[in-house]
Amino acid sequence: MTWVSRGACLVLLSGLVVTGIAAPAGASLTGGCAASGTIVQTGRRYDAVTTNFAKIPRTGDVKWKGSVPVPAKKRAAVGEVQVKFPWPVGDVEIGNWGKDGKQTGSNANADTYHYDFPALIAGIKVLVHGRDQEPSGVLCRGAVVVQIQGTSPLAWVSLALTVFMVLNLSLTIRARKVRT
Amino acid sequence: MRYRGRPVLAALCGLFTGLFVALDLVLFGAVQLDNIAVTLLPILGLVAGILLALWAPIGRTRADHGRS
Repeated sequence: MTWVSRGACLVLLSGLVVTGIAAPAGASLTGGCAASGTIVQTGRRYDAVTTNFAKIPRTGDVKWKGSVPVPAKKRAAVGEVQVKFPWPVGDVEIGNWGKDGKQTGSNANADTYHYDFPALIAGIKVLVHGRDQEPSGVLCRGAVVVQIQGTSPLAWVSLALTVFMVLNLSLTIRARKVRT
Repeated sequence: MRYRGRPVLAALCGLFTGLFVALDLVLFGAVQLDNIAVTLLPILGLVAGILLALWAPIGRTRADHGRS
């Protein structure tokens, strides 16, 4: 994974891509790492350390920057970003760095990232979390709940099917005489 | 003579009712995707469907109530 990709993952990890509503109820990025980002379309800036919930536009561009508290020298840092699904699926990795043995020599990065999520996943609250482990012992962990603005068209289909199934259920639990 | 619903059909209906309720909660953003309710609701729906079918509270006459 390139350093740029790593930076993009760091952004995901720190919640910059997903920021929209800052809720500084507690630190969401720990270990001394720093990250911040600004959604270009709205002009809103978010700090990953204090953001733990983010409601973002479905499409947009985010100007992000991130750093780790270690000297900028060649080292084997390892990390990943995961999305949490319900049990029994659990965590699904969406990006990683350093696991292929590649080393990095930088301790900070910045870029602009364009994202475009499908309308079908709008409205769903997803926990995105990740970590960065440095050889020096520095361990940064981050987590953010992401919600894309809007409502998925699937939601209305699901609601209609719920009503349909409740009606079916009420029919199947109707009493009928059974010979003993 | 005793009364009951259709347990197998009710189990299926309960399962899918629970599944779609869980989907509603997720898709409308009421709960997080990783919430344990997403897993439990279909199972609870299945069990509730069977129990409701065995109990069969709907469609009995007043005189039938109290009998199983």
